Amino acid sequence: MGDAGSGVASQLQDQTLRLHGRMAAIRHKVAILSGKGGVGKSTLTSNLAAALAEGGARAAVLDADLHGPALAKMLGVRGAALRFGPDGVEPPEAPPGIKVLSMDQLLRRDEAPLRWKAPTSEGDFVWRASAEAAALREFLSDTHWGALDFLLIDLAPGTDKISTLASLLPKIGAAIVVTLPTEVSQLTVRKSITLATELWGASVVGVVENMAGYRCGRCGHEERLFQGPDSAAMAREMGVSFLGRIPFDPGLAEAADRGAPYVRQARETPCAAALRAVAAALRSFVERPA
Amino acid sequence: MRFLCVTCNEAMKLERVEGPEDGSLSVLFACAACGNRVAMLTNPWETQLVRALDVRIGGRSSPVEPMEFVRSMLASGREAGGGGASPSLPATGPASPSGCPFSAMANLAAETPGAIRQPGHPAIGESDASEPAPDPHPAIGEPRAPSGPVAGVPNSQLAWSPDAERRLERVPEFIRPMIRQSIEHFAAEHGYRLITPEVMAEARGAFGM
Repeated sequence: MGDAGSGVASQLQDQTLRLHGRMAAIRHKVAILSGKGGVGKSTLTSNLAAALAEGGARAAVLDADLHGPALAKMLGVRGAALRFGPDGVEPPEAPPGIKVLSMDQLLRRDEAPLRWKAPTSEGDFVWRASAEAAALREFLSDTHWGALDFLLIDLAPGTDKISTLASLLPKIGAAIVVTLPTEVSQLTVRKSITLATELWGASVVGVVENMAGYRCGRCGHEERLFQGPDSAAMAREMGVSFLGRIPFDPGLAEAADRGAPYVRQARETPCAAALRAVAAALRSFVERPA
Repeated sequence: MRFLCVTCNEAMKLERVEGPEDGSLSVLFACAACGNRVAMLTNPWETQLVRALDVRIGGRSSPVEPMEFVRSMLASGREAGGGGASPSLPATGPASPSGCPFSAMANLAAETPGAIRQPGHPAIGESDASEPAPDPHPAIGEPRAPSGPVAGVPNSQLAWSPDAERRLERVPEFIRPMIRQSIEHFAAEHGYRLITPEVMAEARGAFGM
């Protein structure tokens, strides 16, 4: 029995077909997530994309943090307007050839928060999550990504964002869970690992530890920045892979402010080397035999 | 969601969609077997939920545009090259967090015998043996019999201001008589003698619209 003529089911099916049609040209869809805010997901995403692209991969990033988009700024394409072409929205490219799509490119002013048009803002919790899922679906399906080796999808904090992405992409190449070596961070991250494992399978989940240590700029002495639990042990305990550690380096944030991935700006630093190692681990992770 | 004609046990077909007007969609369904029609009104939250799913009630009439949803829904978006923002929903009048519009109308029907009740189908537990057999399928927009008395101002003493009449003209024709009647009941109950846009807005809020 139909729905009296609106064809809502077929409209939703068309949306899914559009999405899957677009995603078919992308070899590895990779979610970068945490559940926790402020752990360095976007910094890792921009640098992984740059490292992968420098290694010859066709890479793109989708900033799925609709309310706090940062990737356009971090990759230096904030001012680039989106163009509408015959195959969808043409995303700008950041060196060395990373396609970038972010809500930031659609907002009018720096200080403009994301707001949806509505006849009344009262009770917007009823429909806001649906609107955000629809926006994310459009970003995935209506962007002319072309053929890619990697699409890195940078998720906002909150475990609910994992469920939203999984409803759109039931199969992905990898879910990278970013954590800090602290109990507070891992308290949330463990929830994200559980959810990602349930939704996509443990075989695609990998943990990256950020801010893993600090090297003194004067004497080169290395210290742990936090004295919390080891993230590799947490990954082992939860039955998922561990992909590497990134040391703390203030240069990462400075490079992000300049719109240039640190991995290209400070190639000789231990931090850049660690980022390249995680990119290599990711590549091996998604291309390993099933 | 679908509507069934209880008499014929048939799924009703969507006939027409109008709006959104003041955040409300008006959707008309008809039974293909007996021609019986019902109108569904959505309140702004219901309208917005449908919009948030990025589906069109009544089906799509044009091909999908790239990022059509985001471009049409962003309240503070910037123009992108080659594409303009779609028209927004018009501003709404004062809204009330109270309940469903249908419950308000159902209450009106209960308070006013014959106001909304389907002709030929008495309310549960009510006998209509004494009533003359009404036309089971009155034409859309056809005025119904005057409703019974309500507390407050008699309907005959109610007047509509020109502004209110103009605002009523914006309501889809097929539900206009029902809206007129509902607002007149509201005005009578609240002691208004002149129906103005302000009274309409107040009624709208009371109906949860």
